[in-house]
Formats: sequence, structure tokens, C-alpha cells
Amino acid sequence: MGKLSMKNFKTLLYREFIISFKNTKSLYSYCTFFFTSILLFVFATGPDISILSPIYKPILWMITIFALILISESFVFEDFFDGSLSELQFLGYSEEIIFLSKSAVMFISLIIPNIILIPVSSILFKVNFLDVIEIITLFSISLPTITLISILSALFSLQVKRNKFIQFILIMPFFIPIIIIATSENFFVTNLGNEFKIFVLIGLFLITLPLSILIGKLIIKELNY
Amino acid sequence: MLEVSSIYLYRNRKQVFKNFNLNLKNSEIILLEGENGAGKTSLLNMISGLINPDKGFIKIYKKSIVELGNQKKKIFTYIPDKNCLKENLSVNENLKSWLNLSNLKVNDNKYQKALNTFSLNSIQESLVKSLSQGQKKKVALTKLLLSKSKLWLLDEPLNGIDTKTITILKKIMIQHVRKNGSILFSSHVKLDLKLTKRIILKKIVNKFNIDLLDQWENFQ
Repeated sequence: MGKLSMKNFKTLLYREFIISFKNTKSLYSYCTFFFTSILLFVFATGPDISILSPIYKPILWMITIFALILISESFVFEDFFDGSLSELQFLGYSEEIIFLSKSAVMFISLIIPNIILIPVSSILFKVNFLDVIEIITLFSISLPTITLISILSALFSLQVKRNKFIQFILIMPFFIPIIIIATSENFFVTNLGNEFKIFVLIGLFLITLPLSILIGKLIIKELNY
Repeated sequence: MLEVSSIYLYRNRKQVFKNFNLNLKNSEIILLEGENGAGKTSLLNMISGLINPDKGFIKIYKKSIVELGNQKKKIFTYIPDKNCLKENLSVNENLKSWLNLSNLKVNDNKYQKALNTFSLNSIQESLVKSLSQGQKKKVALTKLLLSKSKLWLLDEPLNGIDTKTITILKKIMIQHVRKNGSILFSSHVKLDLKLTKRIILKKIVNKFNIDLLDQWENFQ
């Protein structure tokens, strides 16, 4: 059974990769949204960019989360509307594997542009090189968790067809712990080192993973009705 | 081959099936007819395991659909109303991805023959988004020729295809039945197949609705 599930997971992962890399629209939207929003802050501030340096982290996180929620829909909506989501289920692929493969592909297809986008945008904000390294590290560790939550958010929005606002109300609280830990400075909790932050973020991922798989499975099943 | 026994199904607080039975034997075709909302797609979705009936059971080869699990793809091929094709992939990429998901290996000769049946050879490298609705349906129906399963479940397979393709599909269905296969399909378009049994599904009108209707008539 384990071997079979692993084989199924690999098959689905391969399929999702092909679809994702053939459909560059979502990646393009992500990068465009990211840069437009960053430039908005830069141009609004004027020539004294150094004012923005201390708030680079919250700006970056806010933009990233909104961009993620925006593009996560493309990972789920297309499959739902063309019938592929149902097809995968009646071909015998479990809802858990479907959810995991989508999240994994979304994570991989986002980590690469972010590793380029974050340093480039940090130049505009005059952020220290060491700070950039720290931001990229914390961001990369948090990305699996926020990817899982974003895919869940997209599934929610499919289920709650009537009101998109509910999606934000339901999903936003899940992002808060990650944002607090990843963006907090030492004044928030005394001697909060990066090592501690990394462990907490990994812990949050380990809590989010089973919960999101369980909720994702239930929503995917519910979508058939 | 397929046994649907004493099925009850409620959707959105409305009863769709009440003690519904169906038995599909080898070399048999059953056509599901009925008005919109009568439950044709729901029945096919229940058989394919997408939704669970509230009461009753569905067995394929004497095994419940839950027990079949990963074996489902070997036992039946389901072509739903939606084409299940990715718009940004070519016809070949879509079909090969489906073969991969279904764990099927087909030699190139058989593959090209299947494409040729629906005259898809010339557009096999085209992206699905550039095809017409009829061509998309043909790509979806090609999956039947590539599958090795005995049971075919088809939801509105005749929607959007021309009369020539309908004739081809009829021939394919007859050939499948002659090879001891079975087909359960729903359609609004009349298909002249002598071997076909017809089941007409009717909407269940709740007592509450009848009461309302009586009140309305009395009022008038």
C-alpha cells in the first residue's frame, strides 16, 4: 500500500509539474504583482529610500501572502472546472495525495522566483546583505506552510462560491503565527534568535501539514457534491 | 458486472434516488434517460465512487466501490460530461498524461490507430485550447479506445459531436459489447442502438412540493 501511494504521488507530481511549467501565466502574475507592489512603495516614498529599510520585512510578507493567495487559485480552479479534479479521484488517487502534489509543485515553482525576487527588491529598499540572507532563509522555511494554507484557501473559495470575503476571514488567521515569528525583531520576545525562529517555523509546518491535508481532503470530497 | 441496489440519495435536502436498482450484465448497454436534474450524472458519479449514496450499495464484480480503491482504473473507464483536458497541453500530452495516470501502456501503433478513428492525427500536436468543442469531445472519447477496461461509464458522450462521429462512436460501442464489455451511458440525443436497454429516471417530487402545488391549484 505504501509503495503504491508513493508511486501514485510520483505520477501526480510529474503531471502537476508539466501542467505548471506549461502554464507560465500564474508565475508571470506572481512576479508582476510582486514587483508592482514593491515599486509602489519605492516610488511613494521618494528619494530617501532608507526610511523603508526597517519595514522591508512586513512589506515583503504582506505582498507575498496576497500574491500567493491570488495565484493559488490557478493551481486548483482549472482542475476543478475542466473536470480533472474529479478524474483524478475516480482514477483512484486519494484526495490527500492530490492535495500534497499540488502543494509541492506550488512550493517548488515559487521558491525559485522568490530566491531571485527577494534580493533584487532588497536593493531597492537598501537592506543589509546579512539581513537579506536572514529574510531568504526564514522565508524559505515558512514557504511550505504558507503554500499549504494558500492551497487550502483556494479550495475554500471553490467551496464557498458565494462570498470570497469569507475565504479571507477563514484563512487569514492561519497566516498570523507565521508572520509573527518570521518578521518579529528581538523586542517582541527577548533573545529571540534566528535559530529559535527556524525551530518554531518548522514546528508550525509540522502542525499545519497534517491539519491542512485533513481539511483539504474533506473539501475536495465535498466539491463533488 | 455492475449491481446498484436499493440506492437512496439526498442532495441539497432533496431526494434524488429512492430505492433505485440497476443491474448491468456482460455484453449489455444501458442508456439512462431523463429530464435535467433527474439524477443521471449523480448515478454515474456514485458508481465511479465520487459521491457516496446515503443508503444502499454499489458493487462492481461483486466488490464494493470503496474496496476497489486503486483498482478502479483497471475495471472501468469513466468519461464525464466535462472533457478533463488541460487547455495548455497538446492532444498528445493530454492523452499520454491520462495513460500515465491510468497506469496503461499502449504501443504506438494502437495509439495512432485510436487517434485515426476520430480523425485526430493531424491535430495531435495542437494545443487543446485551439480545438473546437467537438474536437475536444473526440479527444476525450479517444480514451475509450486506449483503455483496457470492460465497463464503460459515459456521461452525455454525444454532446457536441457531429453525426459522423456519432456513427463512429456507435460502432465502437457495438464492438466493445461484442468483446464482452458493458456500457452505461446517459444521453439526451437519441442513439439508435438495438442492443440498448433504456432506463428513464424521473425527478422525485417531495410530498411538501405536492402539498404546495395543491394549495396553488386550490387558490387558483
